[in-house]
Amino acid sequence: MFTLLPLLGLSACGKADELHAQGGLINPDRLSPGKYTQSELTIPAALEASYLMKSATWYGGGGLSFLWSYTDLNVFSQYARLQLPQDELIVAVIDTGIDKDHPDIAGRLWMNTGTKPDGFVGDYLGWDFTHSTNNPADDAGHGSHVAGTIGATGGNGAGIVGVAPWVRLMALKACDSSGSCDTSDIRAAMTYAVQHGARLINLSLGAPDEGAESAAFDQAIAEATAAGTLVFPAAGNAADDAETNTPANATMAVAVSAYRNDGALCSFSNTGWKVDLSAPGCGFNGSKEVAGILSLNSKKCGPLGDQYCAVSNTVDAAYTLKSGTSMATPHAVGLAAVAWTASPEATPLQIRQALLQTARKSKAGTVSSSMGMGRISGTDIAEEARTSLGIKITSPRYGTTAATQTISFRIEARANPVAWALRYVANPGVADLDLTSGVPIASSVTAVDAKAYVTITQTWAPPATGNYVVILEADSGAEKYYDVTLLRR
Amino acid sequence: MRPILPEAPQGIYHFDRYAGGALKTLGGGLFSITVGLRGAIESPASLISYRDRAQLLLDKVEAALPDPGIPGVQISVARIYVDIREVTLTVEVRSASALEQVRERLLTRLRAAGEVAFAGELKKVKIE
Repeated sequence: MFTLLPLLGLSACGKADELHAQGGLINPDRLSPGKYTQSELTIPAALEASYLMKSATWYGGGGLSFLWSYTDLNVFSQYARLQLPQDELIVAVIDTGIDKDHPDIAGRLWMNTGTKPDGFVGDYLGWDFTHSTNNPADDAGHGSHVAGTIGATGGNGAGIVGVAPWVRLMALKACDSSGSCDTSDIRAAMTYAVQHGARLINLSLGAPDEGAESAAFDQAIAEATAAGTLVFPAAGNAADDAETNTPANATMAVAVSAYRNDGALCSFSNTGWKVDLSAPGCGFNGSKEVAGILSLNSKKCGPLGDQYCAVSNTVDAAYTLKSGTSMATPHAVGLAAVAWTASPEATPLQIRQALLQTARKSKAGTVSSSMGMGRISGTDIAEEARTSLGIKITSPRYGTTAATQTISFRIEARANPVAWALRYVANPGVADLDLTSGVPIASSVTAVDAKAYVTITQTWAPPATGNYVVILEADSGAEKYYDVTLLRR
Repeated sequence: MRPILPEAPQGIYHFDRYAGGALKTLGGGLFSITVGLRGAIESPASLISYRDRAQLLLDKVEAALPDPGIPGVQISVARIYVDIREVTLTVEVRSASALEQVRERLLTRLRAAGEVAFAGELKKVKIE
């Protein structure tokens, strides 16, 4: 029979000794994560004025700035309301790796100081799942760009600044230099992230699949969420329905589409009712869409790993402009990190709901078939994170076809009791839906203690063959919260 | 009503790659599939340990492998990757013409096995 190999034994002295013994690729002397200081919140004053000036020349005017996404989110206004937590907030970037030596991210990377055996030898700075080594270097330039948007250093007067520049970035390489990612590597990296304390996972990747891969990601993301980690996949760049894109189509995933600086959806972005939120992902210079998100360029490419990866759309070589739902997703992840910093005790679903609740809509009280609950916003995110309910339709899977649907949803309370209602809208099309509309399925008031949850199950027979957007509404007095899914008969 | 967290089992283990044999082709071909267990979320308390769970997955794969039901076709496992929720294996078939048939029969068997949540061809995704 097949037999599992025993776990590799590690030194009781921890990763540093282990690394030394193994002759690993990472030199711990070059890492300096340090501990949090409140000075890490003084970013806005040093917001790279030089880059704001340069963008006018680059784009030839047109109102497009290199750093439009940060001002668009209005996230820096929230910093004054934050107190950095005792524990480091860890964000896992599962991608092509991270250039740990980039000056705008050095010191921002998570360091594994754990002493428990975990089966990974020398994982001082994350892991490269594509080559099974301890050096998750970015040999494609994609992961560093994503990581920079989340947490590039602020207050250094250079380059860019991340949405949440105090987070610790966990580098988990699951995609090779061509940008191709083995799905089992991604799911193994998710397991690693959860195991090592990441609260957020950024997945700026995907591909069409509605079979076993979707089922595997559905389970993996549900497990991560249940364990306390919120997972954000990119909706995809095929201008198609995100329902067909894994892992964005996973039930518990927070799927992110991309919008541009004028607020319109990026033309390449996937859409559909599976999209939860939209975030900055491309630029529009007045006449056409352009690479519109500035972030880090990795210098780990070439035969010797010492050349910059991106050779076009580069700004001062070390920074590059890209477009994609890959670029949108880390904006949402960064904002989730801000929310979690404001409310460290919040659950993943409460953080998700805070982002949904504060998102900007084209029309108040609606949900969009391309931007979900709207364009993310930092305005009021700190306060919302402290008060938001967590609600989510957890089953059946998005898009399930059945004559009788068994709908389960979860409510995580901040106050007691919670009033809820389930409604449906038949054959919705693509126009924005009024969240207060729909035909009633069921409603009630349920006692849920603060810091507790209930899972409620309702059976429902869709009246005829067709598509149905199911709306969950819940409130505990002050505000109404919504979640939507799509089911079929 | 239960406390919100923690809900999932703590202490996730990772089982590193190991090879059941070197990757090589002997006039046939290779395919990779992934198999996962049902029940991790529905009843986490029932899981004795991740290690046992991974072993259970391996046992199911092993039970499905030896006889794909195609006379005269030799198969062998070239590579196995074990994680807590799934087994990924690369199967070598020494008859290129039978590759698709072996894959389909193996997947059919695995999908029919109890507690298997998913079984399918391993795919790749790309950065977006």
